[in-house]
Amino acid sequence: MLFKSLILFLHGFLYISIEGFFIERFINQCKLKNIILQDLHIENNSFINAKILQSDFREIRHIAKKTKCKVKINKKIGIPFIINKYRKRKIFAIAFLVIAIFILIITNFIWNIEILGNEKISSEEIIELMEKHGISLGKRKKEIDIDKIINSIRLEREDIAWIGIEIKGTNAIISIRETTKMPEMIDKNEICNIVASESAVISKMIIQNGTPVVNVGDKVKKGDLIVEGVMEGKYTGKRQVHSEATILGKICYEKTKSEKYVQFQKTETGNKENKKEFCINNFKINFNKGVSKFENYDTIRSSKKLKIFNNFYFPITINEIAYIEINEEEIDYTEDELVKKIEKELENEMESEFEISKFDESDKVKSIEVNTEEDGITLKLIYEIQKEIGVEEKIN
Amino acid sequence: MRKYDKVSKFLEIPREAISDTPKITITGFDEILIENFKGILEYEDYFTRISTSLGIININGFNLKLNQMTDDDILVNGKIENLDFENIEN
Repeated sequence: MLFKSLILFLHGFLYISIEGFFIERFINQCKLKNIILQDLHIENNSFINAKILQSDFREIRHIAKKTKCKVKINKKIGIPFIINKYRKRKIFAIAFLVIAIFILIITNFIWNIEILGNEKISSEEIIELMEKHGISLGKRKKEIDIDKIINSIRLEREDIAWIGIEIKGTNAIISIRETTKMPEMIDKNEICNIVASESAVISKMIIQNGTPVVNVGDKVKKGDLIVEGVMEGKYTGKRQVHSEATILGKICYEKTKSEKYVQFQKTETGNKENKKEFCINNFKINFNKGVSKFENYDTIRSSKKLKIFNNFYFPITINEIAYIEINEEEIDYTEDELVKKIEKELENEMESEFEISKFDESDKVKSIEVNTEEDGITLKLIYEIQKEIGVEEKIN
Repeated sequence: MRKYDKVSKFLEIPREAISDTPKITITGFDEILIENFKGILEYEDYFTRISTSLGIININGFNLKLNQMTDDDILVNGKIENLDFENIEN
């Protein structure tokens, strides 16, 4: 039923009313000429209503003349009539066509590169690498040979264990698995030395195999020889061995920072102003003009690529600029407060840089040096840490 | 009956398919489907005469509509009160 009405709609149909004395003759004539009359019903005992196909109307007018009936069209339904109605709106049709072609063309290119799974390698580096191998913004999708690119990258880069490139819509999704560099394992039977992994002062040496070159309390630099893989015996003479030793060294980490007693602190007032900007390549369109109305403010910029659906990007970016009003407050610190504040800040910095909390409490010594000046304090935080610094190195 | 010979009886071909004998299907009291009709003799809101090869079918009722009129079938809708046949001897 649905299919039938759909075909009727595509073909176009008419509602007509027929008036006359010989309606029966009219119906029989229609039957003879193979014209299908649908929903035939009489109204007010005088005229009949029926539904016919658009193409049959010419024939019906013929029959009506022969049987002396009057035919009137009540309603036209169907696609041929709709097209006829909008025949004069040529520009609309052309614009519609142009947009359709434009979208069709634009979908052949890549407009966004998404990178997943990178931790150590920066996204910019990967984008640069991709550009070298042929994936960049505005590249045609057909020109990209994914297998070839993957193979050449895998050969070139050792720090990438696996790479997957997937092109979805106008979006290229690059997933990466990085290799974790394993320390070089040296076989127990091979001859090796032990060298320092960091600059330190040696505090303890436990040597199972090999001859020490330095003493406890000596300063060593990174890469300096500590234990040589040589043994001298009374009867065996000089022979080369696989040296084995635990070397503990003291390392100093220090950081200084100076701050003033009088400081300004920024607080947000909660007022915000948003501005938008269109960006096509380097061509910018500003929606709002001028600078912010606030006196003191922070600006936050964020850009978003225009897209429809999930993976269908356009080469247009929308920049959002938010101005946040701030208030500057003056704070007067006392000496104790300032020392505590700087110490806390330095400790956080050290933690993120050297991971101090990993070591045992007995292995680290903390000391603070405070220099008071006229208008501020300079604070020096020193961590003395004992850790293993010996690393095996093969002798060539 | 003459045309419905032994062969087609053996093959169980329906009678209305091989000859122009009408087949009348009545569904409820409001729908009559007549297959193999010849033409419409009279059509009014309350009375319809439909001719077939065997004779004339008279339908009495209210609000009669001729839905789906094609080459050889016709569907009469409406409140049907009575139905009678006029046999033409030939």
